[in-house]
Amino acid sequence: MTPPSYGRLIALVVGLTLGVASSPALAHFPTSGDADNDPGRCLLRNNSGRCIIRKPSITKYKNIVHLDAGATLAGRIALEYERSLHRRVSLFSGVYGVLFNSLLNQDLIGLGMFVGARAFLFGAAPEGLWASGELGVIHRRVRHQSNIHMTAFETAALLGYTGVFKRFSVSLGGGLLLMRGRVTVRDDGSVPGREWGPRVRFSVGLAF
Amino acid sequence: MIVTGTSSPSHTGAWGCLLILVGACSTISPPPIDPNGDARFTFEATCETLFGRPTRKTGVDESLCMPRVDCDGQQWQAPLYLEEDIDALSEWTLVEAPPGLSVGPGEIFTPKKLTRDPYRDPEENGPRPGFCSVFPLEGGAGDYVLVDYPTEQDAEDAGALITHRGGCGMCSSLQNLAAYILYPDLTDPVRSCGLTSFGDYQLSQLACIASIGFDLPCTQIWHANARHTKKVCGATCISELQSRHNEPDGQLNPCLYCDEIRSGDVFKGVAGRTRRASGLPSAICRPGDAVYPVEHYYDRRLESR
Repeated sequence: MTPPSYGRLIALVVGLTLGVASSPALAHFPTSGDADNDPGRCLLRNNSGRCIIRKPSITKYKNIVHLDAGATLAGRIALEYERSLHRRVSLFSGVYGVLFNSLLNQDLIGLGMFVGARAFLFGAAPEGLWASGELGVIHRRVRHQSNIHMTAFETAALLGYTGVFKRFSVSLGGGLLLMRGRVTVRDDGSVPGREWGPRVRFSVGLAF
Repeated sequence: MIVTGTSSPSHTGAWGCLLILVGACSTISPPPIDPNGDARFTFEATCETLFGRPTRKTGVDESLCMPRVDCDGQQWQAPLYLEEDIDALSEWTLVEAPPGLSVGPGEIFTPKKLTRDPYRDPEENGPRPGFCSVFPLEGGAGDYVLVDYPTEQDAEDAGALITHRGGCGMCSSLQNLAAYILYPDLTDPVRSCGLTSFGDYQLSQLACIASIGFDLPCTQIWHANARHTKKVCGATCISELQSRHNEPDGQLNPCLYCDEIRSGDVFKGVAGRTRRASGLPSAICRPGDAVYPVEHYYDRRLESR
């Protein structure tokens, strides 16, 4: 056996760490023996020449519509459209609503929109391990008291993973959210403020 | 009979505050001597019971704590305010003082938005002496200004109605008083505005606190107080999240005690109105001699003149 190169070793460690080699639900790996015969698609072979770690396939899907249910932990639900522009990059945008009491127990409702980009560190957009940045704007108000409201710009940075199984996608991620804006209280005027906190992503979606 | 407090939290700084807190009250059960010399347990008791309106969160029952001051033989019963009393407060409107308004020896106070965290300058924002009063304006139905008077007699002579002990502050308006009355226990509503969560949700928290019924300046000082307490008492308070407000002997739980000692003076100085200084019982039982007995029937008080 040819000793594996450093690149292959790194790929092996990353692959095993993420568990993607054994988790077809998280990545779109070929299941046939194609990689056994195609030297360009195999990262690591065993003694018998059989491919044991394969490169992720370049997905046939370029678009995903995500429904982010993980954001509901923070009291919001997001609908997002993502399109891959390049093997390593995708862009996304979406809207979200703040509809109910969150874990923070704040009875706020609101609407927001956001745009962002994902850089794929492993895999091929829109599948694989990614880091993302996004910008958004949100308007929230207290339920039943529309004269107490806030408008804020937000930015978020996340690290996560998207896998596509057949046409269905699952995306997990976590990171940090920063907001800056103003809160207005009745006729008393407004004051500036900022927020930061964890941001969790757990979305399911449809790829096409 | 009205009893004036025997000591004021306002003027003696943190150490005085410490004594007062301890102070008071309890001939109820002899306070234990703290072997570590904790000042909470070293003050002479002067009142028969603690002042408050116990709930399930309080930790002591009505045999130790009641909405009544009974100190040195002088007694005062706090009224139970009804919905119409709160509605009556909302008929009053705090307005800008008209030019040339004469308020006697008092000084007009106008609440303003905070532009800086008052806990950055604790020495400049401590409690102020005096009596914050509602000064009704002639010809304006329910219009009033807030005026600080040095003494109760000065306020009465000027035709003003004392609304709390201590200098006026951001929470001295009658709108904020209505919120104090409406929520006998503000600890949980304010804490539940995300103040115990990981992260800092300033905008949402301000909106949430304002939704209790406070105006913006009062919302800001409540928020600043809660943030400061989270900063300086966070470790203590997280472990006390499920604790009752008072311990069985009537002492404050360690979180509320820390809040009182570390955040209390600036809050009293900037907010002006506290429950104790307004004669309002809460779910947190306090020493009776820290209470200023005042009733908030402003229409009736005006009519009775």
